[in-house]
Amino acid sequence: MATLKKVITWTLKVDESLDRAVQKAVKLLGFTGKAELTREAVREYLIRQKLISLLEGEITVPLNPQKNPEHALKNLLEMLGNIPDNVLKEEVRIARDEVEKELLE
Amino acid sequence: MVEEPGKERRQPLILDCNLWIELITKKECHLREKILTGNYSIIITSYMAVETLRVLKRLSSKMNISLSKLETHFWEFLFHDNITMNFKQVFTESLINEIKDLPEIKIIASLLDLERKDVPYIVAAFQYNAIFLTEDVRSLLEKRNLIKQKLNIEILSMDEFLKRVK
Repeated sequence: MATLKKVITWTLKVDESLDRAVQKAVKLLGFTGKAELTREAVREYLIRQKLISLLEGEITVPLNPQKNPEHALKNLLEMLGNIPDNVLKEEVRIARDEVEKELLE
Repeated sequence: MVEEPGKERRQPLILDCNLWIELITKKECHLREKILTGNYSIIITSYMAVETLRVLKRLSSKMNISLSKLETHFWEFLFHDNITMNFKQVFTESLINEIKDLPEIKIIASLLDLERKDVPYIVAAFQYNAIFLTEDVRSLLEKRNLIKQKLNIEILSMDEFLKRVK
């Protein structure tokens, strides 16, 4: 039998303009409510700020279905796909040499 | 070997930094086609992510591409079903310093005559019983027999791997 996760209730004070913006975003993006958007925003913040390790490497709830790794890959290929091979190799080499140098310092 | 209970056993893979960049930059990429659709689990640790992000930072600067967008897409890409994130450390520039001060990194590098920057990949390959794919001939492929003998880690070049899974 699955164990229910303990839930903590947050109470947040925000100014009217932020509340209006969030209400609008909820409607535009199809969230079920402000709470869902807030949870998603916090998860994304933790990932973007590279703090994911605080969650022990695990996001406890799936991210917004709008997150799409295949789409992200397509975007990466569009942004990086035309860089010449020699430039890519050179930049990887320099970045890795920098790391090795730092490790030896 | 780290495995999630109830999940079908997937072949764990470790990719070197070159191949991570290949994965996200090459429009035609046989390796990507194979490993993102096959029964594989590509492991990425904090250290590997930091190295890859360093390259993305350099590319963004050189090619005048938004780093913020690159980072966002990269993180989102890591949620692919065939990628396993094993993030135990916060991603900061100081991660390299933390690694630097670990005696085991120095010991393993010294014992196997490796460059220190390659050791975290070897450790992850050992931890996950993974095949390590690399294009680094001088530092890794030439030393793979010793690494196989001492640690039972299989190291393959991309071409060797692709021939095997053909």
